[in-house]
Amino acid sequence: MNNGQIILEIKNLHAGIEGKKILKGLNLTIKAGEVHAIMGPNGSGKSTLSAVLAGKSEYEVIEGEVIYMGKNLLEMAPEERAKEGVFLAFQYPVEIPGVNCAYFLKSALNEVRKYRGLSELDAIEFLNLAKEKMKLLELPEDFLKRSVNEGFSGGEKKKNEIFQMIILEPTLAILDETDSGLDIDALRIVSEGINQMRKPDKAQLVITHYQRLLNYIVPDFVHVLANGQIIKSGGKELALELEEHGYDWLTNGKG
Amino acid sequence: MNKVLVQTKVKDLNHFNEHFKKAIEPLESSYPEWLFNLKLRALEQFNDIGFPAQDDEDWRFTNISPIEKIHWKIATKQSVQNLPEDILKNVPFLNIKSNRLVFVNGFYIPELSMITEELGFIGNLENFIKGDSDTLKKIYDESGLALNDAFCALNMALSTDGALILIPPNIKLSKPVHIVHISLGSDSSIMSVPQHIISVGRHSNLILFETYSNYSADTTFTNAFTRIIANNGAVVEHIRCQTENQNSYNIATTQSCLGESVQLSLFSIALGGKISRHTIKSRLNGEGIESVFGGIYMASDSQLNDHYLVVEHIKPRCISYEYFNGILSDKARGVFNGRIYVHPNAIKTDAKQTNKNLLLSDDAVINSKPQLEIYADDVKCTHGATVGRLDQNAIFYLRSRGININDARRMLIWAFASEILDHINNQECREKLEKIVADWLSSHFANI
Repeated sequence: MNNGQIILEIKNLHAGIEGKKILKGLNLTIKAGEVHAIMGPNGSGKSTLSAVLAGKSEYEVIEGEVIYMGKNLLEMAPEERAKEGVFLAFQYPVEIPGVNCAYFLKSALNEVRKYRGLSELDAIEFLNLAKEKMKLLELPEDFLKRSVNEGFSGGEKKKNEIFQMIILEPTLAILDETDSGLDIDALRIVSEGINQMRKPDKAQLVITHYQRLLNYIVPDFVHVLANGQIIKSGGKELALELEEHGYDWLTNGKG
Repeated sequence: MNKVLVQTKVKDLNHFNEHFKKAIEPLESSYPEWLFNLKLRALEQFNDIGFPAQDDEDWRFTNISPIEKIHWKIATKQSVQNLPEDILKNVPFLNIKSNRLVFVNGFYIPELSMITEELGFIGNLENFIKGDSDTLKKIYDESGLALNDAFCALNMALSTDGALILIPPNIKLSKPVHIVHISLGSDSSIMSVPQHIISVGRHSNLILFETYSNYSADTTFTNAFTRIIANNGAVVEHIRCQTENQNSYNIATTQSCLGESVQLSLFSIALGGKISRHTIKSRLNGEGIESVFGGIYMASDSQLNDHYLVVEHIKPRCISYEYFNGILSDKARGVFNGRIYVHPNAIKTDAKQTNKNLLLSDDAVINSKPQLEIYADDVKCTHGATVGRLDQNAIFYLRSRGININDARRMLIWAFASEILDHINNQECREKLEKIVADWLSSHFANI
């Protein structure tokens, strides 16, 4: 795959939940090697977009299409999307008592590897890989033995998302409000993890309310989402303008 | 309508009584007088109370009329002659090294048993009754035998054999003791009545497995009665695993009487039976006891699985923690009754009870009834019962990482069950149970 190949193409996407329309004609194209940021006020549709892309069944697509690597993403089951290389870092990672991180992540990785025609990792190979990546995120030693997200601090939960991303090596990573609930040290560590995955054959979609995260993960493009549509796109400087003037600056103008 | 019911009941009992009485009579010549009289009293008691009906609060959710309707034949020694060579094929925990006592239809089979322990006594009841009857009487008295339950009374009246385990003080056995019970059907419906008595001396350690399985798919009825006496400072881990076939009936009672500073862990894993019930009664009769009661019940099709617990705090500063998780699918029913009774003297009691249930189908039912009765001040008692379905958010989370929907579900069900297994100290046994539970999940919940 080369720089410039289209990874994700969202065309005129209308979607909602429980009969309420939230996305109202969203268009977005992401190419290999790019990092896009979507910013927007609360209720603009940021979370709906990430949920629709990951395949959460409560969300209903009313109109439009999403093409991922030339395939219809919306027709795929959530696990199929994951195997194809789509990864969502959750805003609120789910606690799963009784399933430990090692067992969970090894199962996930081997599913993904099988799908990609790679050999499955045995317990020792997995452990070596996991331990190496854990260092990057400064995760504690007993981390792999703990139940997934159970009793984790806010920072640990977000680190766990990025840890999974680094292990699974997705082609498209969607990072939903990854900075929320992070102190400054955790934010730095998490951002370094994300930046490490910035590669010519991969793409990232960073969804955030605040500009703060974009000091660490510098996007190639910034889009402003309001009322279910992208109302303005620009370079990284757009995020700074938003920080200065607030979302009202753009949304008021639209009336 | 009531009148008709009562008449039917008496008629049925008459049928049973004749049969039961005939079974007891021949024992008179060989039994010590006290024990024979006890048997007669037990039978009388059974005649008085009869099989429990659903208007009995303790049996409200468990209808045992299917058991009553079958004309059971009390197992005889003849039924265990010429046993098939692979009689042990369905027995769990077999490859854990243990002192093994094997019973088929309630009768001891020395050829299949293996006892390497030389201290104390690990053997069967039958010969002991005819030998050292004084020691036995002392144990009967100590165990605070309660016969107000119909099935216990019936077992007491009819049983002639079972395990007898007497561990002297200050002994740590090098291996667990495994009481194996196998029900072997025949042309008629066989009822087995094993009675096990375990006495653990002061500061001694015992790991005890008690397993119930069938040799084949025949309909059998096992009415088991286990009594445990743990003397001051004893450490006991008791793991009971019931994996009988889905045509069988298994009604069992485990009574334990605990002395000062005893540590008891008691686990009940119940996967089998058309109707199964395990009554667990424990008397915390000394200060500073630490006890854990754990259980998993998993039922599919139209299985009914009932756990009935009574933990009595009699002396101060005792701990009892109860953890029971149930997984029910299809039209299965689960019943959990848990009563914690704190006597007036039992100050500083720390009692905790949780019962969690996972329903995998619309037709599965759970009746959960936690009860606290507290007559002492300064105690810490909590209980909680939950009923739920698989967490859809958790399933989505697992799927979003590439795990298939069925694997995701199985992972969550497994996690729910293994939460209980994590409390088991004996590693070998825990690992075996993990496999038994996982196998059961994949064979019974394959289509969820």
